[in-house]
Amino acid sequence: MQIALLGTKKVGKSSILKVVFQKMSPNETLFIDSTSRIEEIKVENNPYTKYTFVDFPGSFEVSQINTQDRKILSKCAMIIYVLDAQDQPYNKPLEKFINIITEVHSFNPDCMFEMFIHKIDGDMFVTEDLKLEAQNGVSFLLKSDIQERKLPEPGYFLTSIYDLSIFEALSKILIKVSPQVNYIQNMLDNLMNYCRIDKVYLFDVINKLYIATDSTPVDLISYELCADMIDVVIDVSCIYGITGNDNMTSAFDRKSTSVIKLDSGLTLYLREIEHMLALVCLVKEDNFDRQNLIDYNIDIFKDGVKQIFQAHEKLLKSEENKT
Amino acid sequence: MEENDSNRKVLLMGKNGAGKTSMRSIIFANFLPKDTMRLGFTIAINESRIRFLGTLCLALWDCGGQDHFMQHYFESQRDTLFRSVQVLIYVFDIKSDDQRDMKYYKSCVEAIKEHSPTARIFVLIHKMDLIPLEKRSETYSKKEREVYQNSESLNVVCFGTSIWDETLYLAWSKIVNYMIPNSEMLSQSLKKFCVACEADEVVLFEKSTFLVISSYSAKEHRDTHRFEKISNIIKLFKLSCSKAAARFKSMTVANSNFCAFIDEFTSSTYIMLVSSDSSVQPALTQMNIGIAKKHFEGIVKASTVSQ
Repeated sequence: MQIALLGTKKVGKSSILKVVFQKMSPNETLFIDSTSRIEEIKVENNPYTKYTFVDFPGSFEVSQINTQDRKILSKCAMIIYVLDAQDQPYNKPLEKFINIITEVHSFNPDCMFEMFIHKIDGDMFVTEDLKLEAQNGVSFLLKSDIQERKLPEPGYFLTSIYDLSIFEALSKILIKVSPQVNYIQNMLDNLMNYCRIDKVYLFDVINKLYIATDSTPVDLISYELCADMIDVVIDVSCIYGITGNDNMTSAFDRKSTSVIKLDSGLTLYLREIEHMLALVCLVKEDNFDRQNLIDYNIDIFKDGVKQIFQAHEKLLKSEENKT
Repeated sequence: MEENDSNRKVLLMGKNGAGKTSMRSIIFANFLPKDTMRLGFTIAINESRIRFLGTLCLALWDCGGQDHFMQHYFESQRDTLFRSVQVLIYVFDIKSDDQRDMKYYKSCVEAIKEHSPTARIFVLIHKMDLIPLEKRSETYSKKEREVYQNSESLNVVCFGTSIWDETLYLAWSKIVNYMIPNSEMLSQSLKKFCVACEADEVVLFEKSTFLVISSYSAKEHRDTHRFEKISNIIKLFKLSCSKAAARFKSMTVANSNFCAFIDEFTSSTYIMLVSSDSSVQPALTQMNIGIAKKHFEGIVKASTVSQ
């Protein structure tokens, strides 16, 4: 599963990848060098999801595309175009985006396109209204060209590396490129109903993106709370849960679990599902009285997820053998 | 201003920009380390009354460190400032080369010797995160030696600190612990409780600051800094919960090697109990914690009263 990041110079493509996948602190990204050649970041934290992000240099011009670039882009399931929201006017970068969509769509018609309206933080975008204004402005500028040339409509995300918005955006786009996740979403909906859970996420413990969630809307506050819970569990497990010279990946093992009760009546429940995969549920305290029932259902869910991903693997292998 | 027995006067001094206000904002006012960037200079003396462990009252005098204020402290305000002090905390910015810093420190020590000879002096060598890792130990030792040389042979305790990690919590835990009159009573009671629960270790934290008040370990552990790390981890999580308009009540974390419970304990404390024995039933442990609460309420109160 390949996803390409494109955009003009200094928009923040490499910073996004470093903050989300290489644990860099957002402040440190001010000091990284410009990307001079295409770089790949492989993400394979658990046995179920494998993807590669291809970081293109800002100097890449689709009009001067060579054979190698073409090859890479033809294998991509999605292209993320990163726009610097603080660098106005947007006309030139948006023009580039249209050209990219036109060119890539011609040789890779199945490729999806997403736009990250990035750096949506700081003094320029203090209120939600200002942020939405930027998004509306961008989609308006693109509308006519997209309709005229009959191009696929891109999705839009307002992102910043200084909060969880970039994590949420990447979680959502990864779900978009993974059709098998729909089945998991259905299972999570069932789990929610049977166990009277308010919200549930299947988290990648290492980068804190969510692989799947139920069909109720994601609110950043509950997402952030769950991500912070994972931090607590990992940090405490690294102190008390490892023997000898083990490292973080052994701190989170098959029996990893955590319950956090808040005074608002909300309970957070975390359980390990697979290697570096955790299920985090938000349940009302009253509904958590029968933990055994929830555990039983989670075990069934665990098996279901395994079967779905194994079936998906089989499908991919058979498709590869055909071509 | 009345300075009675239960009002412990703590002077927080150091040159401007050393990090005094940032520190106390993080420890006592629920600031995140990154929030401290928006703090301005402290004008003159900022006095805050802090309630600790229910009945203990700290009067924290955060003394603005700009030069003209410092002059006043040693001249016109010398008596009022340095009288009846229980603890002096002097903060050095490890990155600062200013020679006046050590001179101010020496003046503080002299004033304390004169007006509050029984006071304890803690020196925080701060912003250690700005020193590259490989040079840290050496730089710290050098500064520590310099501090001892200028301390007029008084008993001074030094700590290396940073707002970005757990070292801040270790230093402040030690400072407030010094001010608890009868902490020995607490640790003895915790020992009994730990043994009764068959736990590996038991730690008592103050409710709002999450500083370590007391602890007992039945089993040795390789990480000698684990308690302040837990303070830091939980404090950050507490702040995260407040964004969701909630406060955390209790927490359990477990894997195949251990189980840790963190729960509200007395009205002013939280307790953490860690067990690596899988035969110990979690429900039983929680019951034991519940039963012990009432008993400890009295013990915590008693520990804050001077004998």
